[in-house]
Amino acid sequence: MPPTLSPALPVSASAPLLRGTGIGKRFGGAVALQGVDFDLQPGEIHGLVGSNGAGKSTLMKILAGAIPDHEGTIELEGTPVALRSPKAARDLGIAMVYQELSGIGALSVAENLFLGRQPLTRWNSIDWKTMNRQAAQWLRELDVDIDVRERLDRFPLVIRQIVEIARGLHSGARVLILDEPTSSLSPPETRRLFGLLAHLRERGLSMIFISHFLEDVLEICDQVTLLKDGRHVLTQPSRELTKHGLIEAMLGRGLESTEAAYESAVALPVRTNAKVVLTAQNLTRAGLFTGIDLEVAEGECLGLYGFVGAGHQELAHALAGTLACDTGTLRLDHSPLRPGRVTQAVTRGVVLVAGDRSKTLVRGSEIYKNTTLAHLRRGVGSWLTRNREVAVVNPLLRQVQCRPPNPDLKAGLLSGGNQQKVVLAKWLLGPVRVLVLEEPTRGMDVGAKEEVMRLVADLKQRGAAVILASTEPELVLAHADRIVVLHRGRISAEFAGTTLDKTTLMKHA
Amino acid sequence: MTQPQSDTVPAGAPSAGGAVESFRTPFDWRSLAPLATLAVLLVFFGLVTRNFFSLTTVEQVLRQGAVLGIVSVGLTFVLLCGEIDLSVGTLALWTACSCGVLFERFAGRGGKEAISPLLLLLIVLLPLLSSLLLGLLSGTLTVASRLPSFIITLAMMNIAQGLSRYLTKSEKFAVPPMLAAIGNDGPLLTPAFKLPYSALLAGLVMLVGHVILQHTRFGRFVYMTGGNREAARLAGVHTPSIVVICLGICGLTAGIGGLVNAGRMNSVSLDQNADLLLNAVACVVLGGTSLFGGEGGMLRTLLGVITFSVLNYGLNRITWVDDLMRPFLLGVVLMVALVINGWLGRRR
Repeated sequence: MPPTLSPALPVSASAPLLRGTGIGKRFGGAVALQGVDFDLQPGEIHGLVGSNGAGKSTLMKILAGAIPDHEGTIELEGTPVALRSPKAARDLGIAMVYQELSGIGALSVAENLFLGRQPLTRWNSIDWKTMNRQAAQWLRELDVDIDVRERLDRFPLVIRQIVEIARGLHSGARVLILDEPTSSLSPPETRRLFGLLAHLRERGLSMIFISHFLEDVLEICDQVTLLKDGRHVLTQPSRELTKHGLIEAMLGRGLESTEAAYESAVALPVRTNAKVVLTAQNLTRAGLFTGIDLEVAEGECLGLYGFVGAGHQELAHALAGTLACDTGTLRLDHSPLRPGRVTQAVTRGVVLVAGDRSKTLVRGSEIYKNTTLAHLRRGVGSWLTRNREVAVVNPLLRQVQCRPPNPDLKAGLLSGGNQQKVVLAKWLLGPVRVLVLEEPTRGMDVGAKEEVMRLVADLKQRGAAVILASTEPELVLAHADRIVVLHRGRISAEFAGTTLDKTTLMKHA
Repeated sequence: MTQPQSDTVPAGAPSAGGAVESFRTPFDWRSLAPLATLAVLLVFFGLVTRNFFSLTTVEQVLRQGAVLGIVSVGLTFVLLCGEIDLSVGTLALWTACSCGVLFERFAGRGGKEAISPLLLLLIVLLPLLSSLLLGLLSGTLTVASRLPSFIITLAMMNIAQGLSRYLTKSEKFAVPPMLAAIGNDGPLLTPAFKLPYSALLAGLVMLVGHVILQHTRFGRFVYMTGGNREAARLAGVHTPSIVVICLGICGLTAGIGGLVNAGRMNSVSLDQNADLLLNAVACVVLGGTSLFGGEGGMLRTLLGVITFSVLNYGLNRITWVDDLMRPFLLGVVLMVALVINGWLGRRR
């Protein structure tokens, strides 16, 4: 239940529910956030946007109580509060819904909803009946009708997200902080989430909506706050803002690139008869994808498009040889490549940039160690020393424009875009025949996205075959020469040598 | 064709310009926490015992730390790759027992009869080979069963213990004089100070371990496997073999430790090495190597072993403490030190 409010301070209509004044935070010497003011009105969805490293996540963590030693003051309904821990923030009614979902997959939906506060019977055992009934009812209120006794990880992301939201709501939250809630959702799922958010807004709940998807922000949010380099740039009603304007303000420059191109139809080039590099025949993995026949040629970018769960992301892993298949063959230059033999694939130049960077980076290790990992002998030799490795890594870091280009920094301290550049730099040390990308730009701002995709384009230019698997139609349209659409694990359409727009593409998914 | 970038990078080129160097991360003083623990202990024992700072102390600490040091080397590998080996104590025991039994089998009861040096060498090396193989077996089973190494090595602990008991019939056996020499002798550096061979051997094993960890591909793979197994796998590292090899190394060093310890005692019996496992884990963690893999190193382990040995020896030097209280005190001090190290070592 929400804590009772101090009656001495009447809340007027214009008084913010949550007000942060002069919020700042330094990590070591680096300023992450400086003198930021932030107001959240009751019953408002407030968008928080900015490039990677602009300070969004720092601000969000401060509001969620994860960074107690910050500068500035936070007031909740006019009363200064100290958010000393995530629990303190939750007790005050501020709940966080993380991008990487924090629910426990192995527990049932109901258990997740009641985590830490299960209803008990007279005998002090868990009252499963009440818990399941209550959970089902809570979710029905949010238009979700599922079996709450099922394990949470059986459900698609949007359901898991809604479960998180429901958990926040029923722990008495008045402020929900949503971190990139739409980044892994398919368009229909996003619609569903937005319906729910609008509904919650009507019920008087306030939400902070952090996202790189500016269309999403502009669509659902009432107010938008833009941060840049740790400072507050603007707060405006979203109806006064345009995507283009926001991007300009974010980057401090106009965006000349692809952004405009995929708004209208894209002309896919006719297939050339460039040499085929990688061939997949009848690849099948039960439950993920079935009977996939594909080929990709030198200097070609093959787009794999589908909604979340369509199987194209797992297929990307299989094509890179990192996922064993039940049946089917994979051939590189006409000699077989055993799926599941990663070492072999890497030596032969079939490399993967996985969507989940926690799977491709050793965050606790230095950048240089991450960069040399895949091709130690080839790149550095048999005797490793820091200096030799750094000498090898430095030119690569400059080439991929990693910021800061400090090889001794722990990789986990980089922003998402720069982490991805390190992952790419790792592959640049060896041969790259086939570059498989799974959601290579997830969670990145426009600038970082472009830089990463420019590196990919470079590799393609030099003859690498690129496979780009994504749930973002814009990304696939902007970068692929040929697009294969997957639907429930099967190829449902292939586009080459035609014009194609977003709507047509999405219709086939 | 995409040409690898390595072609354009001259090997050993000077690292790129001043701009990059200026980004050097500041030295993290918290990594010195284990050193502070050692300093505090030294000051404390210096104050409460007489003549603590003497060559005798150095010699005793080296002598007592040698076995622990050797065993900790293998354990460091295992912890770095994110696994654990609970069988080090009983593997050490098994190695010593099988060596003792072999020795008496060929050199008669009490090991009085002369035997050829080659045979003697075999008597020492075969048990070592067996401990290496048992370690590799633990590793293989861990990887193949996908069970935690905790479970597998727990079973291996019992197996090695059982084998030792069966083999020795709970009797005492003599060990080759060579081991006794390693365990007790050493070059006399000054009239008052004998540098124990065992400490030299420990130093050598540690040095080899350090070089492997810091300067070879395998060492890097150990760190990366422990730091993020999936990332290592996706980068083409065959992580299962890394785990198997680490547990093999651990079995081998446990065996060496067991032999040295038997040499120090000049005999082998079932009651040896009972504390070895927990003490070695304490040493490695005290030095600051993470139990969850990916962080730490041999220098830290060295520091941990020295700290532990100083603590152990120092406590024994305090005359007014009841002998029966010593293990309790050792535990308390150890716990305090570990907790403080844990606090200081925590990032952010």
